[in-house]
Amino acid sequence: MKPAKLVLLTDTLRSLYEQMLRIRRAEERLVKSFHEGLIPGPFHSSLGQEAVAVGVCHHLRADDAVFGTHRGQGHAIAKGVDMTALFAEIYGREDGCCGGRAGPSFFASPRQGFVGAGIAPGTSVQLAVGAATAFQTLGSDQVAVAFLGDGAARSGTFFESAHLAADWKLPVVLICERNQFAGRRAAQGAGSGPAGAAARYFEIPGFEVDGNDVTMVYAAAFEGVRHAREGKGPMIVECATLRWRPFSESDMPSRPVEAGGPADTIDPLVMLADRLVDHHGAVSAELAEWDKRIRKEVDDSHRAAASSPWPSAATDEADSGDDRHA
Amino acid sequence: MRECTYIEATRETLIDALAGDPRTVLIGADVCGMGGRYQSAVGLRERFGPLRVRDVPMVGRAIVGVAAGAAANGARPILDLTPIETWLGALPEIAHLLLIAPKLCGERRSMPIVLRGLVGPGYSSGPFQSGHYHPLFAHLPGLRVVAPSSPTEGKGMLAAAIACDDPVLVLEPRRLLGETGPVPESPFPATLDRAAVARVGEALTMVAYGTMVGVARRAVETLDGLSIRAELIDLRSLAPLDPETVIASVAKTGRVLLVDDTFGRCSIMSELAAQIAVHAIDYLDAPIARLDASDRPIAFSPALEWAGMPAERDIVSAAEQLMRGD
Repeated sequence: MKPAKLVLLTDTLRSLYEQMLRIRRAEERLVKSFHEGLIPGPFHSSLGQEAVAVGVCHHLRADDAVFGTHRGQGHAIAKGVDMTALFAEIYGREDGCCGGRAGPSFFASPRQGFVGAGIAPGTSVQLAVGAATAFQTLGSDQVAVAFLGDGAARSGTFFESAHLAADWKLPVVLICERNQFAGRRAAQGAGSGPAGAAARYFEIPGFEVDGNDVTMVYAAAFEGVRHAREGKGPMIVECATLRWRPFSESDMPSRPVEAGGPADTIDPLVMLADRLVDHHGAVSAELAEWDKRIRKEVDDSHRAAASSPWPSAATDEADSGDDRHA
Repeated sequence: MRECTYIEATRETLIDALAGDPRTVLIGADVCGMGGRYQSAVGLRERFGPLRVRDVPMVGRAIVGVAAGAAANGARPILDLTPIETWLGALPEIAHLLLIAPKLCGERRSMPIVLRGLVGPGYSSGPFQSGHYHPLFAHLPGLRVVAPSSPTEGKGMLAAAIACDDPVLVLEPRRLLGETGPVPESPFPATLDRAAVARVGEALTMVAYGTMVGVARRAVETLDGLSIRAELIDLRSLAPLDPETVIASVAKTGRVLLVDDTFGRCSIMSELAAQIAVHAIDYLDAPIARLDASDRPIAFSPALEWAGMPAERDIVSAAEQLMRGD
């Protein structure tokens, strides 16, 4: 199924572009930071997948709940998480949104409605279905959104969760980012849309769209979020895209981050920039100006995060439950 | 006081909880069709509606993650997915989503979830639905694990678990479900984390929990006839453990017999024995005595179902041996 075609205003397109650019520059900076030794542990980049996070989160309110993947930086930025707090978390520092305790794959920032990333493939779906259960029970019109990857779309808990979402007609939108990989392996049958298959199986309406074209993601998510908010139940949107980087930066890629995606890849950012220039009166000098501004913003966040202190045991809230076990 | 069964007492508590707080959601297998396993939810769906009393389709792991997502967003789920074996498959969700994840965010979300699990043999439930597994869950920091030993305790501890802002696993002994006892009609949340002296005595301290409390109580009565006055302690809470109550008793009697129907390795009683050895070894006039379940699978046949658990006569002879000092 395809979403109804939407005509996007120039202002909307500009705002989508700005957010995608923000994620792009932040991810590039973070990849560099990893190879400079600033990120302890593994780091999973979402370079190349910016259009999905931005096209979806544009439709969400601050009090809607988003659950990201272990590649959740883009989801978090698109949902409005503070970039410095995000960088500091990824660097394992005290000023991180979880005080450096959670790290790049697991952080959360509930105040901005970014309720959690990663943990394990499929957990974003379970938690989002649960948040939707709470919203429905409490009579709220909030919506929950889960991003999930190709691996999660093949997991047992995804099918269980989709089953519950359909059975209870929950206000949840499941966004499958089909980036063609599941872990370090090419996703088996990536072209056939496993999330879409689950959708058909449980009679959940859904769309399959080009995840590199932000206008297509935008149109699909518009209908998905509206459908959920109006109490009509869950929707699944499959966004075909491509993961540019290895599973983890610790896999030691040979390709420098400046090289962008693989040679024959469509860059979602370039696609949108072309559209802005060709049809919406943007000039390249203007785009370069935005880029300069966002690079500075990313740089400032990076520097503030890198100079944030290491967390100390004295502020370790995570340990405070221990006294219960005498 | 009026008498009722464990199941009837449970149903009263569920009604009190659903009527008393609109955030409470009862989620369970067959809670709608047949009124929950063992009929503890009969009529609740009709009374409180489909959003408050939710039937789950055939799902296992995901429902725990879904409950975590719901609890993190304002609902107070009670999960009735008996038997306890159901929860074995959801250990990652319990350990990660219920216990660790909520502690990582700066604002430390509460996680008010009750997990109801049936434990132990009864009704020829067979080798795959009669297990105990208490220690597996009691090992996890932050999870409260309680083991009611009677219909009264069942009602009071379930009410307290529902009112608690932490996740609580209530291990309901299958053998007690049909058992009748005096139970107050009005709601009465019991204390969750203290052991109780079930019978005062001077000769030795006997410690048990769950099903074994009733068995030990009969042994205590037999020992009275042999002029051995045993003190009986019902542990009630397995996590956190309450060694203080036990140690106070051991200081008085100088002898202790630990009675358990789970496997003995790395168990509740091995932990309690360690606590006694660490804190009270000078009070002991004899080595710590233990009775545990044998390592074999729990049989289906009613002739063998209880064969591996300590019986009244085993407890009596262990107590006599402890008093003789041989």
